[in-house]
Amino acid sequence: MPVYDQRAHLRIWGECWDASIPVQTLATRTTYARTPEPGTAVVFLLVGCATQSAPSYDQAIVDSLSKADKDTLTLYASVSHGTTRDTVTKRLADYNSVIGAFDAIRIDVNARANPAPAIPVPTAGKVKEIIETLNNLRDTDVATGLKPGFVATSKGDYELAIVPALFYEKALKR
Amino acid sequence: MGLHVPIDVGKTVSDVIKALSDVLTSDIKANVPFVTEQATALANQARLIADQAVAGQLSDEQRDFFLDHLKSHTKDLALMIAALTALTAEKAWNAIVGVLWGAINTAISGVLGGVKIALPKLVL
Repeated sequence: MPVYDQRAHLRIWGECWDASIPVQTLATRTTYARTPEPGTAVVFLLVGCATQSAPSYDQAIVDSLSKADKDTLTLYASVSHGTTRDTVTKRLADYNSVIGAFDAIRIDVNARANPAPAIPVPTAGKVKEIIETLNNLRDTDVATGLKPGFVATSKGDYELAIVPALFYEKALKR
Repeated sequence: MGLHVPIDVGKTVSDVIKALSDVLTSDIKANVPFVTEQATALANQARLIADQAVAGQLSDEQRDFFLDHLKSHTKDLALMIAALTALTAEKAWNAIVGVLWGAINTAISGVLGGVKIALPKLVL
């Protein structure tokens, strides 16, 4: 019995073929075109393969962003009336925790496959900006303490990054 | 061998319009409020930077940091609209292709013994 080349057949009948998909995965996405007869090859066709122009939705990234956002807003609330540098050691662990959380998210987002590299994933840039904003907040607290107006401006800067990041990640659920 | 079932062009057009309308209505409903909110946030941040700089709450270095980020956020909003539009294009493509190739496969499957033609892929 001849060995049937699924890939060649798929190329004949359509363009919906991704060479990176292993054959065993393909088998779960195929339909039998006709009942196999003794001595003949099984005919596979790939159907129902929708186009993706952006990464797949990832609940873990949304959850991580939401958790880090909640912790960061709590931190902003705790310093909203201003601080003095002599008390900064009490806050350093909180600063480092949220900065570390966003850095971990940055790595996850950058490691994710993007099927359309020509269209950058907005989340990556926004998380990078968040890390810069929080580093700036922490370093200013360490150096001089925080003025309330500075904290308000920093929080506005932060929200201009986290809101789009969360919106886009949720928009990927399609 | 089964019978050839001709494609009903009028019904196919209606199905395409319905599918497209669903996609566009849903995305516009979600995206327009977001863009409006972000434009408002940009304007508020511009005012905050100016007010706090005048009030002495920001050093020159801090003011420049936030102005530099404001510029990035403005550029990001434009890129975000492009990224969301690409998602809408993807949904529109899949909606149209689903209807058209569905009609084709319905029309020929009887003749070709159940063989179905794969969906074409959009490359952006």
